[in-house]
Amino acid sequence: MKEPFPIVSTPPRPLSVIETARAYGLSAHDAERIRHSIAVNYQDGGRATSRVKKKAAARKK
Amino acid sequence: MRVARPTRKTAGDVFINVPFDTKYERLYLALVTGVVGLGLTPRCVVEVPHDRHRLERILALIGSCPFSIHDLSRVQLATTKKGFRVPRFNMPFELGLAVAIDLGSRSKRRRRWRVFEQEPYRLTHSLTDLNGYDQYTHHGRPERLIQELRNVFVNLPAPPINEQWRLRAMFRTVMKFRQKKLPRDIFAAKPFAELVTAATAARDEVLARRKGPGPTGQTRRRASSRLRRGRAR
Repeated sequence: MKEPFPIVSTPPRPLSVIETARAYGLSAHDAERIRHSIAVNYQDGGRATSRVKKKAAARKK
Repeated sequence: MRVARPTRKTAGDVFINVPFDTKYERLYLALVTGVVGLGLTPRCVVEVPHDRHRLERILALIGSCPFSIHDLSRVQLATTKKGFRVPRFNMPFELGLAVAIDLGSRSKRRRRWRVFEQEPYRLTHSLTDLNGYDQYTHHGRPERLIQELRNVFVNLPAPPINEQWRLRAMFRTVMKFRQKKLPRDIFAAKPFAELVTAATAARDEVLARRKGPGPTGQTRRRASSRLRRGRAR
C-alpha cells in the first residue's frame, strides 16, 4: 500500500459557505449567490441515471 | 484576497501545486472539490500577489500548510506558438521548496508532500531523485484523481464526505458552476475563491441530500433488484 499522509492533529471543523467565502475575501452576498447557483445546478445523477431515465421515457412512448 | 501569512497555521490546509493550463482544468476542479469534500482547505499559489516578495510569500504559504500535493503531469514542452517552447518548471520548483521545508523542519512529522502524475512510472525518468517514493497516478482522469486523493488522506478522521460517488456528484455540480459562472481563465485569485466557496456549497448540498434516496441510490437499487431477479432465474 502507498504511504498515506500521517494525520498528527485532527483538522478543524470544516468551514461553512459564508465562513469560506469570508476567509477567501468574498462578501456574504457572493456566498449567497454561489450557494443559490449550486442549489439550482446540483447534479446528483450520473450517466447511468440519465440512461435509465432515457430508457423509461422510451418505454412510455 | 487572502494572502499567505507565515504565522497562520491551520491543521486542515492543503497546498495544491498544479499546472495552470486549460487542459488541466478538469483535474484542477476535481482536486479542489476533493480537498473540500474531505473537509480540508485548499491553498494555492494564485492567492499570492505578483510582486517583489512573491517568492517569500510562496515559501511562507507552503510552510504554513501541513500537507502539500504536487502534480507533475506537465513535463512536456509547452504547445503555445506565442512564446518559447519550454517545459514548465514552476511545479518542480515548488515541490523543491516543499521538500526543503520538510527536510529543514525539526518536527517529527516528516514527508508532508505527495506527488501526483498522469503517466505511471514517468516520474522515475523525469525526476530520478524521487525514485523510491510513491507516486499517485491519475491517468488524466478526474475520477482517478479523486480516488487517489482519498488514498492520500485515508487516515483522515471522520471526513464530511468520503464516498467516491458523493465526491463525484460534488465534482459534477462544481463543473456546471464553472461552465456557467466562472470566467475563461480560472487560474486567478478571485475565481479560485469562488471555486472553493462553490465546492463548499456543493459539499453542503450533498450532505443535505444524504438521507434522501436520490437518483443514484435509485439506480443502485434497480441494478441490485435486476441482479436478484437474474439469480432467481
